[in-house]
Amino acid sequence: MLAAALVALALAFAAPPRVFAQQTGTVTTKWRDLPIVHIQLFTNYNAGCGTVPAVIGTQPTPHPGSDAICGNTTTPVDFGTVQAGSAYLYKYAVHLNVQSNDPTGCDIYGEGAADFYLSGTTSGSTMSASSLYYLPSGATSDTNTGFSPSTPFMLTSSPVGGYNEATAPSIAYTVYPAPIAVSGVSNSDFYWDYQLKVPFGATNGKSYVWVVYTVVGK
Amino acid sequence: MTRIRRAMLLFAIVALLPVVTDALIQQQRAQIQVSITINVTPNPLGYAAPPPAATDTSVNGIVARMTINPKESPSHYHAESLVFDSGRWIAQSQGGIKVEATVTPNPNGTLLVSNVPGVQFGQEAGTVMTYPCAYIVTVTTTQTAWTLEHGLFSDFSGFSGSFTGHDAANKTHLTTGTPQPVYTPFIVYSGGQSWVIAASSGLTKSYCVDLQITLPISLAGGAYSTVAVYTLFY
Repeated sequence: MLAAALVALALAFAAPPRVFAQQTGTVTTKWRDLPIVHIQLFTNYNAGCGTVPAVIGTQPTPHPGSDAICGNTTTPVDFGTVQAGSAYLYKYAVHLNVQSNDPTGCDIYGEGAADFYLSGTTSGSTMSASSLYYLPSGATSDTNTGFSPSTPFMLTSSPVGGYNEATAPSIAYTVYPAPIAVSGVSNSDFYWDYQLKVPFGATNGKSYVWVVYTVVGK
Repeated sequence: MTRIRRAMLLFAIVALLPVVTDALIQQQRAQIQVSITINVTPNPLGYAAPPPAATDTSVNGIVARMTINPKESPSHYHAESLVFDSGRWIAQSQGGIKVEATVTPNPNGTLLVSNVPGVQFGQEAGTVMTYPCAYIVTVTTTQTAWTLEHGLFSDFSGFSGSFTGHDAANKTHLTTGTPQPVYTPFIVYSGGQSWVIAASSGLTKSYCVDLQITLPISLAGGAYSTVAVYTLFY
């Protein structure tokens, strides 16, 4: 009896259950996914790749250097033997394939990670990275000559990681340079020839440089 | 025709014959090219600059802010027209290409050289700029009579477009001499024009090439380039 009285007392002082008016509304949530950008680089991508001296008129047959193999798209762009003070075209040098889920396209950047260094070394410029030029080419046809308009690669001003002769380095950008090409669609292909304009003061011997391509979704 | 006229005609022929034959028998001895690259910035008239990218996380880069009240009951949460703008998100992919070359001495030595393989300038669309002694072309020889021809191989071209090579003019003068008073537009070889004589001289000479570049106002931003070609005959 006492217990029943205590329970009744407790219930008497207990707060009534809270009652809320139910309200409904809409919440629009928007977010932006980080686009995915994937690139593939192919060198010496077509038969007939290789070096052509800059001459006016009938064009000589292209000949790549010994480290380059036409159709083997992982071999270096090897100009072979070149003369100081002379200019050369390298046909079918680089094919860049961009795949992205960003429908607005991509910006493409290309810079020299360093100046040309003698093979086996990682310092001591033999010629400027800007001695190397790029110009549009085609997938299977190419009418460029050593005199065709081209644009020099610039030496990057951003930090370069892992520079050595064997493996591709990286460039850590905080501010991107001017793009060398732009794409307005999600998937695209770019084909470039290279030109090498060897300064008269270039150091004799085998030199190398890494050109780093960076593709950024818009 | 009077006798005096015949005599004068004969004299003219005799006097000009060595010049003509010398020009005809001269052979090409060397050829070089100098790249000219113009990094064009668009003209600000009518150009709406894009807003700067949100690259920082400071207060200036914050476009929406929420404050959480820990005492507020979850049942009293209000959310109205919230927009979260992330600014620019960066997604990038990177790869490298190795380029090799084996440099050997030039068999022509310094017969015909330029002090630089190419020049680059930054210039705004719609402006005219002059670049005194942009580069130097030097002939080094013991030949007492030679001819140096020059011109642009093609129009200026870049991935943003092109403009005519005639918008580039030059004064080519001895480094020790006085420039001509006016600029002369380059010829454009690929446009069907013939190379023109930059200098006829002998022995070793160095020439300054002053450039004057006139950019169309409608030119889009980007790099535009061409090559100036120099050919030596004797």
